[in-house]
Amino acid sequence: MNPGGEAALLVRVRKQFASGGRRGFQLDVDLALPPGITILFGPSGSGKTTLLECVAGLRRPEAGRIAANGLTLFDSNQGIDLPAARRAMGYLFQELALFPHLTAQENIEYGLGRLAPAARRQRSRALAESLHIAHLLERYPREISGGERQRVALARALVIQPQVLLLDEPLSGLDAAVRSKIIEDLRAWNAAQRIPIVYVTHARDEVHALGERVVVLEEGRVLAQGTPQEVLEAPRHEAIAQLAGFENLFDATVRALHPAQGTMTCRLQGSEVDLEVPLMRVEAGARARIAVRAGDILLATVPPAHLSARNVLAGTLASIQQMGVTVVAKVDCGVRVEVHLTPGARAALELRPGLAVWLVLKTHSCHLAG
Amino acid sequence: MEYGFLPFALLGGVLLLYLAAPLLCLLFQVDWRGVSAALGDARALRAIRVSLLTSTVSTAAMTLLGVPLGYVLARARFRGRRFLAALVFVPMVLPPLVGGILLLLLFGPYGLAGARFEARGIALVNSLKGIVLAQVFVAAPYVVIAAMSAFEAVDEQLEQAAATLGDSRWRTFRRVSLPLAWPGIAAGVTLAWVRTLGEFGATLVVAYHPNTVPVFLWVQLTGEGLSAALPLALFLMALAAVAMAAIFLLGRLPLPGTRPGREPLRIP
Repeated sequence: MNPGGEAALLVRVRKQFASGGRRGFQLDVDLALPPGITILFGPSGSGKTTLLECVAGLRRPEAGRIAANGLTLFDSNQGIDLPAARRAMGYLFQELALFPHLTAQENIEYGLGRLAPAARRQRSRALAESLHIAHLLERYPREISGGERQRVALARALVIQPQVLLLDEPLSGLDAAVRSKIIEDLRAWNAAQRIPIVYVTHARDEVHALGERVVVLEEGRVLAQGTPQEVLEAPRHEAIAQLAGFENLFDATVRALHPAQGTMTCRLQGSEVDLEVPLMRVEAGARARIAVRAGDILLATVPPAHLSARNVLAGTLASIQQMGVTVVAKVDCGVRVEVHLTPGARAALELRPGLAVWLVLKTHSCHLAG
Repeated sequence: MEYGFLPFALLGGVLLLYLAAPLLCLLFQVDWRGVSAALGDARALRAIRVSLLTSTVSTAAMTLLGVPLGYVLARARFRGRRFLAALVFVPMVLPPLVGGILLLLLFGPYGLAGARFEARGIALVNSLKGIVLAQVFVAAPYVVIAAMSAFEAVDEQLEQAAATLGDSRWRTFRRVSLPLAWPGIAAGVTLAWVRTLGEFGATLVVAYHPNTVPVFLWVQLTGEGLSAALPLALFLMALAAVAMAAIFLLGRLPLPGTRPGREPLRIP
């Protein structure tokens, strides 16, 4: 399976591409991925899908080498370019690409044409059972729900026993409950098969739920890679900050430096709000971007006093909404700030829109990004 | 209907009336006994046989060659694709008589290709072969354009999915592209078939003999007048009605292999 200790999936590609009429840029990556789930993380247009398509053989890179489990699939120097049909990649398309004229079962069995009908049936049945879609095999894609379609498409990609699994935003557009169930199934499958799985997403919760490794891609380049904790907890780049769930990202101007305290004061753009943030090597008047996690902000319904935190912002609760186990509050303090609370806190504070609230931000919860 | 549509409906109604009136008028004027007598005429029967035979052969040829061309023009990426696609339209914009003259230049007894066949004793003009040549030239664009737009309407990602599941281009075509594009193609083929049955201009130039129904109709009209031509006109109209019905039904067919009754496909 993995001769010579070589990484299970090697991808070194260079490809010029244009994204949606914007200025083109170059996909230029060099990755060595072991078996298991690798999250490919980045904003839309960063080249994630193009990278998957190169690996699957749906697009041809200008240069590079792609090898899976010791078998060269593409090598520009040696003139090797295996067609997609012979690469044995399981590919889950973002739009699923289920065949509308075939039933769920026929979709799943599509890639098993070389097996005898009985063997085909057995394989598709077994997988359908484990993905909880056995009851809808006779139905057509348009007759089943979004989550069910996703499972059918996943089954279609898995049933061919691929040597690499490529998943392009497989859970986008699904509600949280369905998502976490599919993530469970995928983890179980991963534990059993241990093949390289490349999982494209721009949702942070999926990174934490699934990822053993994350590769951050921006404008066709690898910005960072490592465990989700390493990469996402300490954002050095604005792009990562935004993606890593720093829900609040403010443009600001540096007003004053306080070297003695190790802080500086920044005025958030378009507001009268000043924040005290960790000192950086900048001049007063410089621009900065400040990233703050919604979960790092405290919310109070009376003016807080005697605090160590330097930043207390008065505002009005604009909206409050429960998303899964998180309560998302949007607070207007001259700038719109997102705060995450627990449902218990919401009940205890009797939060409702229009309420006057105070936000407390520790200086060191204010990260400078960009 | 909303009041604001009134001016549109009035203008459109005038045109609709103009289009329908000749048909209605015809139905009241026909001497139905004369029709069966005229269609019993040996020359008329022969013309009907010639027309049905040649239009079937040419429709089969157009489909066999035109569907692959439509697929390549819709899917393959190569330089000059747009130019080739534009070329397909040429017979559609040429007056059929001019098309006939071009064919005569090529396939006539002294033409570039015709002379070679002539040398082997094969006459292309004034034969069933000539009729088929004329019909294919005039009607093939209908097949190619219908196929092209039907294939273009098939989501390319479905073909990519088939490829990642191990299908060659041919198998993808057979299992995904063709089944999904088929209703649109079938409508185009039906239109082309009707076009071959009615083909007159190019056929007149290339193959006056043996008479097809439209050519015989013209012979009758010029030789014996309106009453002799009417039954044949009715026959052609009946075939057109059949084709209209076929296209209408094709448009309501579900995708092959799916259950009927939902999401009828639109014909481009």
